Amino acid sequence: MLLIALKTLFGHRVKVIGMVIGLAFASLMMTQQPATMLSILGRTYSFIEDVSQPDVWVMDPMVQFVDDAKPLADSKLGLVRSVAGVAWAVPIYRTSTAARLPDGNTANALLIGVDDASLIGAPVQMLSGHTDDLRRTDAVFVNEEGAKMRLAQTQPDGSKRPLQVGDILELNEHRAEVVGIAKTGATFSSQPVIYTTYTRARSFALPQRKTMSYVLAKAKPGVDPAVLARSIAEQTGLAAYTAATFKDMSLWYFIRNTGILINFGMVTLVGFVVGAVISGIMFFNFTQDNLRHFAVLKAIGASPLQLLGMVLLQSAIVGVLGYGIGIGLASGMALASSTFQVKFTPLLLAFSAGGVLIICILSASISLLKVLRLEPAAVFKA
Amino acid sequence: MDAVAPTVECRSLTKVYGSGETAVQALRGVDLRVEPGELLMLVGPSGCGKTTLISIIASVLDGTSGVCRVLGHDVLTMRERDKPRFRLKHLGFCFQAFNLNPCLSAAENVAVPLLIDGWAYNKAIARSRELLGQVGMLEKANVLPDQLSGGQQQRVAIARAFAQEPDLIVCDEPTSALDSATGEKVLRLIRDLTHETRRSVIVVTHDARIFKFADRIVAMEDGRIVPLADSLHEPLSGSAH
Repeated sequence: MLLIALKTLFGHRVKVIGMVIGLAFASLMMTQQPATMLSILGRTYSFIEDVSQPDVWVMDPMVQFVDDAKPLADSKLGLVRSVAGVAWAVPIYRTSTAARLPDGNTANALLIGVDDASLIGAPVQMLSGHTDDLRRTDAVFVNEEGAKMRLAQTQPDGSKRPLQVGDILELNEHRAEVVGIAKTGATFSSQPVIYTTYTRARSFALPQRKTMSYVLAKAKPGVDPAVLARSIAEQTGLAAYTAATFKDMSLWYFIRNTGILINFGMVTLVGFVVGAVISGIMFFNFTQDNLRHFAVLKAIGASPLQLLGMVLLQSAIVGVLGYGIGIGLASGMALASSTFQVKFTPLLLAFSAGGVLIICILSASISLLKVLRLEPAAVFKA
Repeated sequence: MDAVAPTVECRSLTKVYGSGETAVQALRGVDLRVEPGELLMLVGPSGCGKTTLISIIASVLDGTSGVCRVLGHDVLTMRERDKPRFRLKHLGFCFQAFNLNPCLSAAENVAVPLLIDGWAYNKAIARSRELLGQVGMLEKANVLPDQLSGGQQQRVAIARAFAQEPDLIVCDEPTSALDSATGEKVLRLIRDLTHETRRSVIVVTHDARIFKFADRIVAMEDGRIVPLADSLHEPLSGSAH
C-alpha cells in the first residue's frame, strides 16, 4: 500500500516539485532568518561570554546593556573588594578608539583594558600569540574578525592582508604592537576589538576622570553569585548582576528597543505562511486529482487506516525532501557569507522541522478529510 | 438450484436520497435474486436506479429499508468498519472508466487488492502476472495504463477484479467505452472466467450487443424491477459457455 502511495506521489512530478519547493522555501525561511536573528542577538552579549571568569558584573546603576558602560571611579573597586563573599575583583575598561593602520587608513575599534596583574578579561582562545604576551611593551591583541576585515591592510596591489602578529597600530598617537590574534565573539556593530592591559588602555584613550567600565568579581567557593550580587549592590550602591542576568539584560534591551525580533519574526512567519499555502494547495490539488483512485481503493476494500497511512506517507516524503533542501540552502547561504557567522543550533533545526511538520500535518489533514469523507460509491459515476 | 443459497437476495429494498420535500426515491421495493455462477444483466434507462442497486449490493452505499443479503451477509445491517474487509474478500469491481491508477504498471494495478490485503509486493506481482496471463495481457504487465488501448485497460481491470478470487463481480457499464468487437471480447472473457469458477456477475449495461452473454436480464424502471420486453432478451448462444 505504501508503495502505491509512493508511486502515485512520484507519478505527479510537477505537483511534487511544487510541494517540495513550497516546503523548502518555508524551511529555508524558518531556519535562515531565526539563525541570523539569533546570531545578531548573540552579538549583544558576546563580550560577557568572552569574559568568562567573573561570576558578578558590577556597574553604574544606569547601565542597561553591556555596550552602555558608564565610567566608574577607581575607588569603587576597593568597595567591591570589601564585600564579604568576594574572592577577587578586578577592573575592566571599555571605550571606543580610532586605530591607524600601517597602510595609513584608520578604523574605529573597541578598546578593552584588562587587569594588569591577572589579565582577567583577556581573551582565552588565542589563534596566535599567548595571553602573557599582553604584558610586553605596547602589546595589544586583536580579535580575528577585526584582523581579517576592518583592520586588514590594503596592499600595493590593492589586495587585503589580515592584520597579523608583529604589525604596528597607532592608537590615539600611541604605538601599539599586535602580539596576538584572539578568537572572540563578534560585536553587535562588527567593530574590531583591541585588547590590552588596563593601564595601557587608559594611556591609549583620551584622558578621563573616571575610567573603569565594570568591576568583575568572583564569588568565594560556596557563595551563591546571585546572593553576592545583591550584597554588592546593597553595600556599594552600584548595580551588580550575575553574568547570566547581565546577558539576559543586554539581550532583552535589544529585543525591546530594536525591531530585530519583529522584523525577523515577520519574515519567518511569512515564510511559514507562504510555504504552508503553496504546499497546502499543491497537496490538496494532488489529492483532488487522485480522489477517484482513492475511491477505487476504498471500494476495493482499503481501510481508513490504510488510506490515512498513504496520505501521511506522501505528506512525510514531501516534508522530508522540502526540509532537507531548505536546510541545505540555508547552510549554503551561511557558508557563502564570509563576513557573518550564522549558527544552526539543534533547537533551531528542531524549530524549522516543527514548522515543516505543522505544514505537512495541515496539508495532509485537509486532504485526509476529503479522502475519508469520500463515498466509495463515487467509483460508479462515470 | 433451490437448495443452494443465492449469491444476492434483495427483498423490498428501498433507497431514498435526501429527506423532506427534496427526497428522491431511487429504489422502490426491489426484489432480486442472483444465483451462484449466474451472469445477470441489469438494464434500464438512465436514472432508473441500476447504479444505486449495485452500489448497495456492493456495500459501497447504504440502503434505506428492506433486506439485501450478499453471500449470506445483510449489507444493510453490516457494521461500517466490516464493509471494507467484506468487499476485499468477496467482491470484485469492473468500472466503466476502468479506474486504473495511471502511475502504476498493469501488473501493479492488478496487484492493488492483494496489496490492500497485506500481500508482499513480489508475491502480489507474481499473482497479478498469472491473472494478466489469463486475460491475455502478460506481455503488457510492465506497461502503464495510458499506453494501453481501452480494451486492454478493461482487461487489466478485469484481472484486478479477479485478483482476490471474489464470489461476486459487479460490473458497471464495462463495455460502454469500447467498440463492439472489443466489448464482446471483454464480456466473453468475464463470462469464461466466472462460469469456470461458478462466480456470480452482475453487469449494469445499456449495451444491447452484449445481452447475449447474459444468463438472465433484469430490467429496471423508476426504481423498480419491471417485466422485460420480449425483444430485449434474445436466447443465449451456447458459444458463450
